Amino acid sequence: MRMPLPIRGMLAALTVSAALVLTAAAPANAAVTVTLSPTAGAVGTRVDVLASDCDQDATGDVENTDTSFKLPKNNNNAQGSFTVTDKMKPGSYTVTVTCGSDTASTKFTVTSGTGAATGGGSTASNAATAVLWTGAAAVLAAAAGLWLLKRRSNVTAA
Amino acid sequence: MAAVVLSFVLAGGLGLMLSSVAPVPSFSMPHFGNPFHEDPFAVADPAGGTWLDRSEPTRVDIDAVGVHAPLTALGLDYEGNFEVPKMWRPHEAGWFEAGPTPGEFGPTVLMGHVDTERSGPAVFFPLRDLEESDRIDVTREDGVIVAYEVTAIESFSKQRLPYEEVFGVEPEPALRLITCGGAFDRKAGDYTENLVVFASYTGKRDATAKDLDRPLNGRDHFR
Repeated sequence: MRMPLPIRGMLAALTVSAALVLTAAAPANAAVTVTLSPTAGAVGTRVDVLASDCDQDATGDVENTDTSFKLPKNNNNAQGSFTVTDKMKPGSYTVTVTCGSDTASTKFTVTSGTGAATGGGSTASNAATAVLWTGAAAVLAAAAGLWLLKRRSNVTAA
Repeated sequence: MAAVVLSFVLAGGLGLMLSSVAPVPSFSMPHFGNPFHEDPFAVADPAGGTWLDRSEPTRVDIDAVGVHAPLTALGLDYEGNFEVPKMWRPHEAGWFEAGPTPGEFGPTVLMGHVDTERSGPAVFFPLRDLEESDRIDVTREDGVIVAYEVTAIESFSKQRLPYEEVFGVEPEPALRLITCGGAFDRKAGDYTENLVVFASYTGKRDATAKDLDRPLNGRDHFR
């Protein structure tokens, strides 16, 4: 159907302005980003997942596992969580969030859950050795005292 | 005896009078959401700040306690324990590669030895002397220096390292330094505790020529 030219022009203008409104509504840097808290943890850790600038319900997946979760819309973001299962062996896992046609991912590290072995003990051993020597000195002094006492008592008895 | 009782009564009366006159601070009940889990993103907006993109850290400088150390990337060992710098490189600290880099949103975690097996103190030995508000600079590969301020220094049993605190988000990019503390368990060949320094983001700047010329503490520093 042919439309008169002026109307076509008006329609075109409307479309352009609608597009402008749309781009204004969504900031230029509105790429979805995924943030985890905490970023590392052991089995049983609950990991909160935030998909920033995802203005709808989203879904999340943990790579190489059967763990998937939902991120309901929360203001301008989508937010959800998953729990580290005992099937997840220590290592690095990519957490991917699908928000409409966008996907974004970040990494989570499953650890054994203990702290870091950040010491060899050389400064501690100095202190421990000092304690040992003090103890040895005390024992020696006591032995010497006993011996002296015993000798004296022998002398008086004689 | 009567005098003592009287003085108590008088003191009590005085207390009552005072409390009726002086403004008593009002205690508001803290807000409890889920009693078992707080929303870490309630105060944090990862996309809301002018945070930096990823760029690996290369060195850490803490002038207050004389730490000037190169950084190496760390992951996990085959058992899932944290990898730490090599024992024969006591001058070297490391950063947890799987986590955010300095200036990115989230916690950047650095680890370093407190001492070695033989040669005495190592790179993070001086952390015990840190105080609140001391400044920590971390230099990135892209030449940006991210500055932090110490907010807390705490010791935790290695069996109960609070991951939520160490690896959890804060309103701004954050930094944690981890080394060893507590007693040395000779049988296990390891310390019983981790000393964790919590630091918060204070700003970033481009490294100047002077920054880049700062000497690093080499191996000889730890002999």
